[in-house]
Amino acid sequence: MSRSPDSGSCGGVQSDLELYLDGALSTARTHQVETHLAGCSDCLAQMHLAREIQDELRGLPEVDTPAATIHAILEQTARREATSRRSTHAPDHWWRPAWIALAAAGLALVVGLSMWSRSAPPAADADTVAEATAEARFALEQVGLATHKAAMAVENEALRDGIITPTQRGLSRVITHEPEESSTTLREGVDHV
Amino acid sequence: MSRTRAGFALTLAVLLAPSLSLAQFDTDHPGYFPIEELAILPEESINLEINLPAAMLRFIAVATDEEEPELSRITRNLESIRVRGADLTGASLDSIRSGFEGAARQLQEKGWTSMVRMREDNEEVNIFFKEEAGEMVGLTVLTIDGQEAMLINLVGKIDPADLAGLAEGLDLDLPRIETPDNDAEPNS
Repeated sequence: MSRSPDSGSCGGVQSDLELYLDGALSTARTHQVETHLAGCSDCLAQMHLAREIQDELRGLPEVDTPAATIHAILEQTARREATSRRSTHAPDHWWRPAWIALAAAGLALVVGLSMWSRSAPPAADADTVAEATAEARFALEQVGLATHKAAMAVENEALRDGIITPTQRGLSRVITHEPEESSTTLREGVDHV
Repeated sequence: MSRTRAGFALTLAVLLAPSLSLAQFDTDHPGYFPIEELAILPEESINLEINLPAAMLRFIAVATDEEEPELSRITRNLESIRVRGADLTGASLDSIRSGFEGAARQLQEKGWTSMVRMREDNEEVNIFFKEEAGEMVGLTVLTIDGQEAMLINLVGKIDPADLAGLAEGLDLDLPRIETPDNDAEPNS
């Protein structure tokens, strides 16, 4: 691992990775972090991993997290926080595996919740689906209504203009260019069809 | 980074996961048309907004599978349904119609095909479809009906045969269209 002299320590850079990925660092600090990343394969790997985790989280399907689950997570976080306060000094990079494990657990939890909510939607979701069904039905009815009106208009126009007999009209036009006697015969024939 | 911060990040990630997937609508889908950006309907007159993304349409398809198989079949193939409706009382019909003209130009510039454009006294129907690889992948409908205007964009595979069925299969009280077939059997 090489390091640029003014780009900060690995610990400092890795602490700022989240803010860096969120674009929340100052321009100067962003430059420092980038300089460090350019020369530190270890931190660069950490940055890629963090970005991958962020992307995975963003790509997850939309899930309504049940209140009980949120409560359980908050409780667990509070417990861990309390344990953390009691613990002695931790090694320099203790959080790396812990962070990855936590993120993985988070992913698993969200994916699990997603699958659970799809297989057994709770009662509140049933209402939402019913409401959405009514909306979909309404929208499709409107499309159907528009199509129907348009069809009616086209039909009325066709009847008015006589364009529902295009074959006869086409033949008549052709016939006018035929010799006089056959034209008359054919025109009568066509008009009486 | 402290342990607290890692825990907080995880909690946030889990809590925010639903809102992170805000891209509910595939705006790059060829059948997508941004009816929200048309600025045809006066903002204060908009009284209806329907936004149904693919995930919800899948739920609807499953929920209506037995009782409304036609609705189920149509929604199963759709990626989104979006509707904007407005009460035109007091609004300028000419302005709305002019907006429709502009939208029609935009649609045609983007490769949409005009299926029907019908205009009567206080009614107007414009139906455009988008075709890709021989399939209809989007439908945009712009209508004025008396004092109501509506913009609709259906995204996804649409069977043209369904269009006729939409009105007839969904219990709408509509005047009957005379065709050679039903002329022969007027009571059918």
